[in-house]
Amino acid sequence: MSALLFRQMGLARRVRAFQRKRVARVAGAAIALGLAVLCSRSAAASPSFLSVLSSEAQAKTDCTVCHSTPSGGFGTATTPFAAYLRSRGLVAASDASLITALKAARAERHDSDSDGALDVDELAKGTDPNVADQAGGATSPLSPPAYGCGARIAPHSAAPWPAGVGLAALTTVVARRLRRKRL
Amino acid sequence: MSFFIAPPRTRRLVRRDIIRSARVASCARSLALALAFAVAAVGLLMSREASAYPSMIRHGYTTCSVCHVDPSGAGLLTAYGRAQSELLLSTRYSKRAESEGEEASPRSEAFFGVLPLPEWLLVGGWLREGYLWNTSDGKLVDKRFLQMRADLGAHVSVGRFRANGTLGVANGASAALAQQAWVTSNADKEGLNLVSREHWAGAEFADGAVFVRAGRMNLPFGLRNIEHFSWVRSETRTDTNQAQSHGLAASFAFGQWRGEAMALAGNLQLNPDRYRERGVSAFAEYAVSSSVAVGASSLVTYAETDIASKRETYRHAHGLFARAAAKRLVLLAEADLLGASTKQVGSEVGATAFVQADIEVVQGVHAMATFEALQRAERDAKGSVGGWLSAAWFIYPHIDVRGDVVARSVLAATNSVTTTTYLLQLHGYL
Repeated sequence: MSALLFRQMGLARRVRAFQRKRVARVAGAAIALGLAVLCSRSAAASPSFLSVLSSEAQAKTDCTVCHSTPSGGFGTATTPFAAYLRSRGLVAASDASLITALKAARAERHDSDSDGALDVDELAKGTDPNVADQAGGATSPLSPPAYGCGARIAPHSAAPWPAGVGLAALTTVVARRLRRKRL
Repeated sequence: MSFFIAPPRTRRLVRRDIIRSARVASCARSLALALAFAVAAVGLLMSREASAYPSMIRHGYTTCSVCHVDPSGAGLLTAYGRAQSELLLSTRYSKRAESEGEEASPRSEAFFGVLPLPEWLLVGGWLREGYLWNTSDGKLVDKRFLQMRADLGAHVSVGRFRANGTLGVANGASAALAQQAWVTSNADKEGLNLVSREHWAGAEFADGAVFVRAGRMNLPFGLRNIEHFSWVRSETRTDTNQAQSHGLAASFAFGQWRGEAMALAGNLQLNPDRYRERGVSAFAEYAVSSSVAVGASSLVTYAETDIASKRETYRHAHGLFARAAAKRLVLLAEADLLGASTKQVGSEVGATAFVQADIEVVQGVHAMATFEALQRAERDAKGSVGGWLSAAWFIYPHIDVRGDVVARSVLAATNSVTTTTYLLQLHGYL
């Protein structure tokens, strides 16, 4: 074999090694991203105070019963009702502390807006325990805000199929592109 | 001494071997990209957030419409915006890359250049993941993964007409920060919802200097900063995450002036109608130079029942904002007066302010310090202050990581609390 041939073979090996490394880097990044996404999916969790209010006090309400912003958020639980619950042990992200505070509100017959209707009764009626002029059921209860257009989509269990369809479509596109390149 | 020369057939074989190995590598690279894309598609099964960088004024960009399809910034990027994202925003790892001039690589194109697209169509996708720790008075009270945003977007332009829309998925865990953009109404804790933050159509006039559009869009107000839970955004209800409204808007860009005014028809994805805020929102900004711009914004809305106070409410926000750049430093500032007027309580006034210093240490690596203050427009409200320390690294075109430490002293009518939030984020833009 000639020296030039050896040089050319060596060059080919180096090119292949370089390309393998590059592919490994891209694949590594893709896998890391994938793990981040998949982990976040499985570990997703959220404070469930609205569920607790619904089960413990039959409440028909939203985040603004405690928070000053429609979407809630840390540090925004500043309504009188929230202040009372905090004084009775409520802490963020603890369902147990909310249950304890609601029991206290019931036992102490607390009325945050001093309109004669108990907070727990107002929660069940759908009126706002922070606002006196809606109390006691004298006016029709305010329906809470509802988001979206009313339609529902399938829950988690049906989730993988769109990803499958997306993946299949993408694979087809990539395969066609590669084939075109070869031609 | 003489050297053997390889026969032509052998040379052909070697060349073929090199070409074949390059093809294999190209195939593997494409498959790796496909894997990344598939993973992103899986990520689209959950969701919360949008991106905008007013700090691009450092590079002389005082207007937003060059890089974004939204004339006031944020959201889907234009082809030019994609290229600048690689050339100006991301870290560049070799001198060779810097010497390539103004040419962006195919990596900056939609889906990293895997899918060729016609000129009239722009597409993009957002995937933002995070992990959050919250402490209250020093005690850890909350830690969790956040699915912040998983949306796809498309923009079509035909002559002077343009249409834009985004569609994504939000999981139950992100309901509080995505529900105002829900299209479907699955209130279950584990439920999924489709979200559409933006969908609008419009037409350009005066050679593109004026753009009129109708649909659901970001409210024209203040800095369009990415920190959607900063008080200037959350208290004025003008964040780009979910606080968009339906309505009719007209934007302009003449010389050093740019601005937009919008008639708000309310968020039609919120029911019943009594909660929808209707009114006007507008801003105008003047570029004093290529590195300094100042603006003013104003918002007045009416809701039969305010979503927070549950009262018939007129809500106001009026303020000033500024952007300035000097070498590697960018300063962003905004101050707004907040007002709320109800029959029961009368008029109450508050205020909020935001100042951020952003230093680009090396290209693509940012260190930021932010101060914010808030006095809510509520009876007996006391002042609250907050400070952020943040770092962001634009690792690769359209991929960045960010870390924030946010300390806030929140003073309410009857109590006060000091909170600290630690937030790590990974963001990819397809």
